[in-house]
Amino acid sequence: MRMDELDERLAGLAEEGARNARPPAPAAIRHRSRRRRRRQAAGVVLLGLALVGAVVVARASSPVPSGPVTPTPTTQAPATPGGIVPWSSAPPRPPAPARPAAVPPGTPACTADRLHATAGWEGATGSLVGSVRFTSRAGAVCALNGYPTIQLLDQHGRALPTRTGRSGRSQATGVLVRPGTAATAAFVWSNWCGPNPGRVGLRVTLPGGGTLVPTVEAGTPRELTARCDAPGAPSSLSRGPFAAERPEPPPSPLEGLTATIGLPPTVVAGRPLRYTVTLANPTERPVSLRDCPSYMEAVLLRNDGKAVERHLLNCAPVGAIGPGQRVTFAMVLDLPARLRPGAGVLTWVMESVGVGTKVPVTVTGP
Amino acid sequence: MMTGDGDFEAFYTATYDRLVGQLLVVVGSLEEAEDVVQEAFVRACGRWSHVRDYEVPEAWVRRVALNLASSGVRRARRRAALLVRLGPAADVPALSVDAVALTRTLRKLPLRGREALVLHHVVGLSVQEIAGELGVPVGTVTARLSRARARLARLLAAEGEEIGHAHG
Repeated sequence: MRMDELDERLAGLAEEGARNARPPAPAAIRHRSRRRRRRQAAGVVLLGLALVGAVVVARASSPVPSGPVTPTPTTQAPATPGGIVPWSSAPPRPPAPARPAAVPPGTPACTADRLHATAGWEGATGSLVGSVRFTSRAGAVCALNGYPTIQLLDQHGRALPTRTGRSGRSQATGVLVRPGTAATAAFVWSNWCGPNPGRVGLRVTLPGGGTLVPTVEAGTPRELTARCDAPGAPSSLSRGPFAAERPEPPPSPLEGLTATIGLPPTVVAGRPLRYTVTLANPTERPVSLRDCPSYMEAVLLRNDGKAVERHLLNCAPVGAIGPGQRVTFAMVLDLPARLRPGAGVLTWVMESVGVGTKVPVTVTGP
Repeated sequence: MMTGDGDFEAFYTATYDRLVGQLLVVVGSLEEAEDVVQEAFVRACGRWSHVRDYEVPEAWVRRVALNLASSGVRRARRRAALLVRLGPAADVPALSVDAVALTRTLRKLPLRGREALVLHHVVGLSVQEIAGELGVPVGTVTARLSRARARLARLLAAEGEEIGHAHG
């Protein structure tokens, strides 16, 4: 087989995969990232479990939308022709500010006896990137200021010689730690040319005083060291300042919905794209739309052309979606006339919820 | 100025599809490719303040995704995460017949070989760059690459003959 033929076939396969990829909303990735940290911190050990066991544990540990079940009406048929909820151009609701709590004057600095710490890291492209997570112990309220001192330990608990550096900018006011909140500090370990240290551990010294040995999160590759890139140069450990961990939003009942897109036969540049989104409720309880979600709709073409809008869903005519029921919403997206014809995707997603879908589209000229 | 989050979002939006395509060549199914790429982004998100300072953050995410693809135990955990993940899967898009046939053939190659093929022939890295990214000697990369190429060529040729016989 000729080399250019191999290039072409493999690149063709990768391109086809890229075209068919369905990225979840970035918010869903962030949500999973926070949940992953929670799960690791809770010590749920999935490693080594058989698939079936792993699934059961993961399900049990995943937050299930709960709360008082108010008698919610099932789906109300919208009073519109064809049963389709009309489109509304209402702007999206601004996201709630996720500002970390300010540190009240007089808050004591955190000392080791006031905190729990866990740590985890990942290896890739030669370096290990990780973070230490600090939570309040026994109801303590305290502030973390500046940078932690982080030391890597070998399997016998001896410190590995590393040159330490700092990255990022420290919050001037510090980070408040109290029950229910957490602070983190990231670190990167590079260029380890020393002997194999065995299972790697950490020791953290706080600026307020005291030393902690964080519990290493399950799944952390502890046998891995940073790669030896420059045998003459020292191993380096750079760490970031204390940062507030953003609180995890409560799970939304809307997460149970699924979305499908209905496209018209033609999609023309310079004309509004009128399509439908059907939200279905496969769960066994009604999903209220009282907390009406915003959504993003976007046509993204492979020729880099795009049209993106954000709106509030027209929830008022619906109220709730009953178990096993579905509601179809009319959607409009203005396609500018300057959009060059081409193929791509139409993405529709409730960003704060992570529910969405996308379909291939081909835009033709006006 | 972009916030840290906006920065991650822009990076994620710009690279997700491409990485899924690359991982498809290695793992052979779109679902599994999306699964490992999503999990890699979940990890990048958790460490974004550092990962973004890398010269090529995309290489970090790709490396984590390739690591995830290479372990059976991790596959079980990933499957568990998949079942509870946010955002229900949309209708599974169908790959073309040719693409499915090629993924099936690629799966007959060892994983390390597929990894070398994608880094060289799809990502476009040199043998030296692949050695750097994987942390293995240049000779190892050369050997994996040439074995994978030769085996793939044989398999594709054999399939071509089969098709010839079927229709002839």
